[in-house]
Amino acid sequence: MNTGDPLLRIRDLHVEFTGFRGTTHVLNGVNLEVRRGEKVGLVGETGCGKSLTVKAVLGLLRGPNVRVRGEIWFGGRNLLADPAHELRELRGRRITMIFQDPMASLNPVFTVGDQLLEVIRRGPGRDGARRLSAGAAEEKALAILHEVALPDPERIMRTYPVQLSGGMRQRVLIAMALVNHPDLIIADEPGTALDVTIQEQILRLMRSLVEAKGISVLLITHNLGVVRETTDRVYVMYAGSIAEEGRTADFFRGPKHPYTQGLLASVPKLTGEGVPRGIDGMIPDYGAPPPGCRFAPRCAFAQPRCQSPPPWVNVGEGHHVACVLYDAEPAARSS
Amino acid sequence: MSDSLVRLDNLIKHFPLRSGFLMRQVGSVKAVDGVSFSLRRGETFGLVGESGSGKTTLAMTILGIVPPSSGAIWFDGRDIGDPAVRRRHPEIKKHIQVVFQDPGSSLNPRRTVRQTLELPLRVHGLASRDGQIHDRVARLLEMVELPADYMHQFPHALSGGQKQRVAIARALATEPSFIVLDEPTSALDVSVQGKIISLLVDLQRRLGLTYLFITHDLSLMRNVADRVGVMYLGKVAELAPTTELFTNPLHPYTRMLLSAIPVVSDEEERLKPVKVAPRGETPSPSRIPPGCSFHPRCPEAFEVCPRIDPVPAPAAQEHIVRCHLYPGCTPEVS
Repeated sequence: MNTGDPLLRIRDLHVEFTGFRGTTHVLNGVNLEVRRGEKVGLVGETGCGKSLTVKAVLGLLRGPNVRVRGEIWFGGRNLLADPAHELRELRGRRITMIFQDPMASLNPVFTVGDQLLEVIRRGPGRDGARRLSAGAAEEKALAILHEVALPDPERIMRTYPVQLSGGMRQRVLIAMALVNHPDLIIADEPGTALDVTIQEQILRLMRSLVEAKGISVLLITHNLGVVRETTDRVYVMYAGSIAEEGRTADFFRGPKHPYTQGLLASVPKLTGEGVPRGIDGMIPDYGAPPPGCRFAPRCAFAQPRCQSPPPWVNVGEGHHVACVLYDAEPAARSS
Repeated sequence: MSDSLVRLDNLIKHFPLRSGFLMRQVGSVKAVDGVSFSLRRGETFGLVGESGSGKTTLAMTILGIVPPSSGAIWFDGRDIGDPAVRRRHPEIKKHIQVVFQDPGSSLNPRRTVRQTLELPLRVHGLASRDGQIHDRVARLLEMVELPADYMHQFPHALSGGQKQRVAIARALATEPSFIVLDEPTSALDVSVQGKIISLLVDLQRRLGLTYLFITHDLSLMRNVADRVGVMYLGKVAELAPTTELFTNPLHPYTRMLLSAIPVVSDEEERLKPVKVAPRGETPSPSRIPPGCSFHPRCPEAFEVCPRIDPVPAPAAQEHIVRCHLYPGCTPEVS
């Protein structure tokens, strides 16, 4: 399914905020692609800019103090050049979201049915039909609730979110994200608020449904284990740019960037090889980020060349890393 | 068991559910329902379980925040579950300290680090003069690897990891022998988690501390605990030394938990027990299923399970399991 243009293509995305203390340059040239039918993971720690990237894609970064530069291509259109009303056409129809906390993303004063029908009425999705009759919408709602394996859909439609368990609420959100047959689902930490046995069920369900329907997924998470088990390709983000990109299997067998190596080493292992090391230092201040590689101040392999922006080096098929350590012609660069 | 520091003896905590005009009791939430185990001096005892398993309530009863409904908590020869005993011996509070999950909400935002750390010192009369306090606070910060001038900072100026270090320093202020760690790293990033965990391990070795380490992260438990107890709906389903539990999990719930962990390498994948697809969700502790409370989700449930509640029995050296699949777990029915 790698033929043709990618469904989503982010090129050199920069986001800057202007505040009292000057400008904070958060996203620093993000490049990312999601192909049709592909499940892509975007991993990073708190404050690395992964959610900001999603907000930029959804066109939620607008205002006098925000500056967004770069290109976001979705289905042949540059979203950054589009006026806001056209983005509204995409959001909830061709691009849908699943958020982390199902309680916060469902309205507590409306029933599940009300909220699901609202989504169905608002979005024709790919199948074209403009307006559905009340009966058809209801039928569609029941069908999708059945698909996400919620028992007794008729009863679920009449319940309020508080009456459902965490796992069931997450299933309702998945139903809402799928019901309009979107091209892309952006899932921000799905199931993180849930227990592992329930999280596993949710991820399994999501995977089987998107595979059956050929929907692309951009999975945003800090959990490397979840990425390994659900995605085809992975991007690791650090301090506003992509540190490494590769096929999931390659990446987990041989991470290249010092940051991603440190990150993987920090995850406690079932093999019980001892307490993880962690990474010294913290994420840089976006108001005054280090010049060049933003990881350099924390990096054990830092060298003078790291003061200039890191090269984007190909280290294997579809495997790229933003680090001078893998640069083939260091002599040419330093001279 | 002379080497045990804390011993829980059939500990029970039920919260009554009241309803109606007369607030009559209509049921109860069986948060902790008959838990017995002991913690050895200097060990890290891991308690794992999902939401609603009662692991935090268990910690709260040990800390004296909620009194147990019945059962005893033996610490240093006294039943500290009894509120009267705690009132007579306020120094118990000095010996048992706690570190909570979210340092953002467990530190008072209007107190500087020094004010936070000096309170336990003053309360327990460990230091009274200003100079003395300054020295003690500086020493505490040094123990958690923070520069001494951080004592004048407010929590909002610190990162998550630094805040958790302050919370650890506060727990250490009274020179306790026993610390309850309730999900101490769940709110932190994984690269920071590593640092906090190695600090805790280091402190334990230097100060001879005993930890009750509560977490839902089994991979973390694998690396920090000496023994692990798995809780489900207020009861301990399985209890074993860490390596034993992870290499030879017996209870179907433990196996389900282990096979659900997302791991990051093929090597770890091979260590997981044969895939037990998780199913269902933990029921509410106010409506615990009859018999073995796990039977509705258990892939191996058979005819006895919904009828009779199993009892814990040793399956191997120090390996205790509570499941009808194993000999000795089915009580004799008279």
